[in-house]
Amino acid sequence: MHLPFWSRIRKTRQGKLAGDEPIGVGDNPLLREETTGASEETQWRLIWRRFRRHHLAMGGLVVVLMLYGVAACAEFLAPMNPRAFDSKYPYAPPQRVRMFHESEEGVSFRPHVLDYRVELDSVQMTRVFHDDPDQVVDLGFFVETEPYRLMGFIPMRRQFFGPVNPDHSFFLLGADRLGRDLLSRMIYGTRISMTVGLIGVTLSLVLGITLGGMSGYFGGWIDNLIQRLIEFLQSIPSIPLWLGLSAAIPPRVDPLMVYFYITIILSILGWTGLGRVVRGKFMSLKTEDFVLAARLDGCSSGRIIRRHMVPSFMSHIIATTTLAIPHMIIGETSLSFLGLGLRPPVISWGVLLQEAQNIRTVATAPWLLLPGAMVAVAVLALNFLGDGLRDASDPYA
Amino acid sequence: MSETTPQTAMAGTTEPTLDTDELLRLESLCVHFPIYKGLLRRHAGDVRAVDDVHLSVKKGEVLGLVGESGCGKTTTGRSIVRILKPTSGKILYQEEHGKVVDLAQLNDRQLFKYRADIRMVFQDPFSSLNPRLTVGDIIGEVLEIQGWRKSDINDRVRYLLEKVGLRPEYVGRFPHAFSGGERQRIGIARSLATNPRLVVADESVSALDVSIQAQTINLLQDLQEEFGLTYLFVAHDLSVVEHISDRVAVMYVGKIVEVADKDSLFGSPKHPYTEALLHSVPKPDPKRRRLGTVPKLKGEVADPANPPRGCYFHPRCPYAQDKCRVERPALRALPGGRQVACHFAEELDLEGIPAVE
Amino acid sequence: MLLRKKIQYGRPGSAILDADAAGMRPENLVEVRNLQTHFFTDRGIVKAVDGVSFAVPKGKTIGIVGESGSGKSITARSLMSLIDPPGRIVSGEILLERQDGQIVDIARLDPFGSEIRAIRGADIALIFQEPMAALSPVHTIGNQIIEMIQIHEDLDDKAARDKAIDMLRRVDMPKAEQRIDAYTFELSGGMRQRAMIAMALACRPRLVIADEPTTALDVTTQATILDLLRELQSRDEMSVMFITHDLGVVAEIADEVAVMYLGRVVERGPVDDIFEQPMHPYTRALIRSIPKLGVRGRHRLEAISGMVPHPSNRPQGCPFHDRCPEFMPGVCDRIVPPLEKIGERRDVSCLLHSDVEALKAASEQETTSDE
Repeated sequence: MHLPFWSRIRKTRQGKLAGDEPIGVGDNPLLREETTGASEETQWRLIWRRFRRHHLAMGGLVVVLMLYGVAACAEFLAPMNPRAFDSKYPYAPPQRVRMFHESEEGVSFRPHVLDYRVELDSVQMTRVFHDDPDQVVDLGFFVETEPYRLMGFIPMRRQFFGPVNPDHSFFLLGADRLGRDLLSRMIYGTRISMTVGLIGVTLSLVLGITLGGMSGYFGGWIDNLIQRLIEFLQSIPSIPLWLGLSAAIPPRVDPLMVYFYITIILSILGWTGLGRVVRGKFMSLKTEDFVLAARLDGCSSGRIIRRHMVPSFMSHIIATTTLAIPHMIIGETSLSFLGLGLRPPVISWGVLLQEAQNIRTVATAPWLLLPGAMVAVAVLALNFLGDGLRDASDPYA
Repeated sequence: MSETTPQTAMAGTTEPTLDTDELLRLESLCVHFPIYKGLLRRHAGDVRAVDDVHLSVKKGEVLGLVGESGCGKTTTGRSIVRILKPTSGKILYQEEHGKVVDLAQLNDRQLFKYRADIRMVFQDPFSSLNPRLTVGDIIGEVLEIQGWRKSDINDRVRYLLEKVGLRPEYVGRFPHAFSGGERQRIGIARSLATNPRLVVADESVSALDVSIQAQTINLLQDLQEEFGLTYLFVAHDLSVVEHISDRVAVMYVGKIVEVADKDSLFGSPKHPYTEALLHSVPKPDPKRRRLGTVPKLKGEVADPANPPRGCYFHPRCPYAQDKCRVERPALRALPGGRQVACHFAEELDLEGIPAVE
Repeated sequence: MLLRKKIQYGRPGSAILDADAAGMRPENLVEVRNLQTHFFTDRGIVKAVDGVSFAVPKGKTIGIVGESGSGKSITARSLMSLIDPPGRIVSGEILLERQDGQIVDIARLDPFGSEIRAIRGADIALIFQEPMAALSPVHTIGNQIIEMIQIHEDLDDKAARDKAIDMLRRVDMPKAEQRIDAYTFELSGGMRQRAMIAMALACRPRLVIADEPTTALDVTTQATILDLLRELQSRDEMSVMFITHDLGVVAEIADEVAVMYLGRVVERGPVDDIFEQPMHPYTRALIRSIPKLGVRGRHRLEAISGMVPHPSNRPQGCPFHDRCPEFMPGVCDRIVPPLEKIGERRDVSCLLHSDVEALKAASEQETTSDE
């Protein structure tokens, strides 16, 4: 279910202005959605209209779209290779971007950073980074880089921005323990962290709609069985369960497979809430007059479910799904942070946060907490979006 | 579709027959809802929503079915259209060419054919239309299932919209663009799509505004005349029922207590409950207030899960005698084609509503 | 935020008025003058109540009749200052003579202030249509009545309980001593409505607003509740404002009637006059359109054509003009008819009964002076 109503917004507005005649309302006009002149509007357009009024949710939508854009174009956006480490720069702090360069010829516009001169502080046993005015790292947009394929199929030789000389290093948000660029790693991490939610939720959705739908439509012992199963799954403390399930993943398995296992683990627990929602919707819709009317029209069960019941709560399901993605993201982050989920060399926000596990590192290199901020932004944005969708999804309520 | 209806024959009974002017007859119709109690969900009794109802609907008439909430009138209507399966009893329906079937025995597949003949208009114009479908889809749904061609459906829907007083151009609109009265017209158009022979109207004008109610009643009457329809008009509003019906049946706690033609029932009721009901209706005429000599009913409607012994109405009946407390009166015939379930129908002199004008 | 609230609600002028300055007639308990309650929604202003004037006489029942969208319920809620945002009372006066003879303008009171809370329950009480929604399901009806009594009266628990039982007896609740400890779900619809009435009357309000109190009830129960209200009213000499869509109920219970249409009172007068000589075409059409008991034979109802417009989409001029059988082109669709006094306690808002020429001149003058 995509959002097919986008393209028709303008038409809707015109239609509204051209309302040809007054149409009254029945029971309680003040509580009823505006009915005047609304002609052939589909539910999606109504939802979109209501959604647009929800500013926070619109903001959420923009942020979420941006995050998925970042995930899709990580190779293009990341200034550095996220895996390239450099023993010269462990825990290098963020570099300041300077716009103008002073030289003998005068001041010129030349975006650059200054490379670090590293000194070892023998007293504190730490590295001290100093800006080295002689070593200018020029930055530019659309700079040349190693060839790669954007989104897996567009061959590219340039990236969005980075050092003009591909051999130079550049740490806009600092570096980690191995001197890898944190910004690039966060950008690559977006890919795994944001999709773990999508795949997990898709799986939950399938499980939730099937099992919840069966539960609600057939009732009786099927309902009883599924409800007890849900209660059982919800009663298991999640962290020990994660521990157990992660322990079941063979240790030598390919990191990518671990990723799939993790999503499966997350969705085994994640479908229960959705299942309940779907069951409730089925049960309440089953006794709606319009469903009875469809039965009297001679509709088969399949047709009633397809044509009359599912469309009535599809929008609701989408909203619930949106609200479920953050749980998945948080789940992945927690699992990986605890070392139970993804492991390096896979890059995800949770894996990145693993670096920030001890207080000393956090004290000396606080920028390593930035992936946590990304998690917060993503979760908030998805929650706002989901809330907005939920509020907008029931224009008839 | 099965051409035979073997169930009744298999049951070993003689082939049921209806009078030629009868369209539908309920025989000992019972709809009981079981009550389960406790952790083990033990069967603790039944709500006898409809209990041993006998009623016949004649071709081309409007039969009003009145009673207070919980009396079983809606359940009766819903078992006739077979949203509900009756617990026992027969729903005999006479097809156009005279064959009689017992709808109570049919399963969903066998009912398919009769779903086009017996249609229903719902009470709530808001919940009875799927908000996700256009008016055309809603009205045409049954035709699509009956296998009509797309273009024929479109023509038919437009024709029906015109018949119920809506513009045929509205065919592509969604229900939320309409007011309650207009939505009810759409519901009526849907019920008429298949040229039905019987329409069960379940409180179909109760949810409408006063000024819209009159339009809708007129529309229902016009359509009845034009298409020769038969209505089972289920309602709690006695003035509406008196206006639209030819005959009226009164229900109390799952049973029919009185059936008569409209004029006799309203003019000279034979059951004390009918009398009390008639005199409870507020009259839109301030001069007639406080003129009533009939005492207001005391007490509450009996619990259909646990009805009193004897006549169900006796605890509230001002004329109750010892016999009423022990013996349950059967619905019996009186002269003039009336039926009443009261031991003292002949002795009691009950007050009706005098005719005006 | 606070400041904004002040601007929104605290309308200028003192709420407590001098009896002479207010100009209230002594036989009236409440006078509503040109009340306007609007809802400021995202899609524009909905004028739910748009210039309503009527009076509630002392010790009498006034019936407010109207269809959905007529603003009758919003008018009732305005009287208790119970309008939730985005709605608010925009202008007009709601003058109430309190128990001590003081006259307050409810429209000027802060809807969250202590003055209005002292009025609610003690001076004006409300009976809702759906007692199940208005009564709490987790408290016994007794506790709810006792709480109500103790808010307004300084009584200890025992005395309040005795008073609550007494109230339940007064509304003919059978076995009041036991029923006081019942929860709402243990009572039938009629019993619940009795409990609701007992609660409303607990502090002997001078005005009871009953908002469709019998609509959800069966006819036989409705008849007993109407009898009860009538009896309580004459015994306690309170005023009742009875809101309903049912002309039959109004004819049964009201002494005076105000007919509302699209946020305006179109006609007002004693009940016999309204039913015998309705002056407004809407009232006339409404009375003619309803089916009446005792009319035998087959005939058509005289239905009113068209639909009730949405309050956000009200027609120009007279709100009823596009459905009116006596529509005067060029007049009714231009001029908003004022509420004209046509007799003792008798008003009508129809251009058939107004001096059209004078109004035309006035409106023309207005437009020219605007230019």
